[in-house]
Amino acid sequence: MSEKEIFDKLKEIISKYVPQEVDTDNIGMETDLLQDLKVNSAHLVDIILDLEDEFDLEISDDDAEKMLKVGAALEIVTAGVQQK
Amino acid sequence: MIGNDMTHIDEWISTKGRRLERYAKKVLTVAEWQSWITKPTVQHLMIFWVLKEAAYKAISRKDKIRRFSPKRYEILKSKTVENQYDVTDLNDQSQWRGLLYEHQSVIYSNVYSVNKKEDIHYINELCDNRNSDRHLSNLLSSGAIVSKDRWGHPWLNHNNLTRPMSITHAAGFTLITFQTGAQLT
Repeated sequence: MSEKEIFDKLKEIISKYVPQEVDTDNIGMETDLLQDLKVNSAHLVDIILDLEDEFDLEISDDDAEKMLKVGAALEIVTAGVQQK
Repeated sequence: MIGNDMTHIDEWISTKGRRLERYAKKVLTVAEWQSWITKPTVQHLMIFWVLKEAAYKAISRKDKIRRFSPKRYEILKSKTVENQYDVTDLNDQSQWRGLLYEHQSVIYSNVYSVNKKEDIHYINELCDNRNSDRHLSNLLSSGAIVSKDRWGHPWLNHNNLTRPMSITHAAGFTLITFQTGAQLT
């Protein structure tokens, strides 16, 4: 799976938890899930669980702690996919 | 320091209900898990969550570090006081106190620092979102100003005193909590 495919899937998963009034068209590596996309912090866990299901991997607590920006999430998921 | 949080029962049932145990394992410490698993319901998990979020809002105000780390805060029910929780910041073992409330379909909490075993003084008000601005201005003294720091924490400024404050919006409600009096920690 290419990084582009992972990014597109990541964006799709994150977008499910973004409030309707927030624009998701310009999601990029530096986009902050809480501050820019207004994702409720309880939904960060939902995103992590969705990513685990979608990519069939386990995200550690240490990695989860780093996943506040889209770029960090992409890096962690890509590394997990490549290790399989 | 003080922080509050609030969440909506129906929203949690719809988004977390199907995978509750997995969700709980991501956010609870071992001690919390042992408590939660005796009654593994959405509502029981929400109690831990709103207290952890309130703890994060209070404690990140102190250390000014933004991170997603729900297992950093350990929540244990007080053995002596109803609806009171002992909150420990596992990073430095500092002790905080949490109080839990329920109203209609929301659960809300506040967590504040324990100062020499004495309670701090604070105001904790839940109001309808549509009236929140008016409600806030009624609560505040004349001339008081609410401002946010660079980390997004609200502060209440009045008479050259800056007081910690926390505001949460959820499910059509606004929760406003701020310290009063001179005992600011």
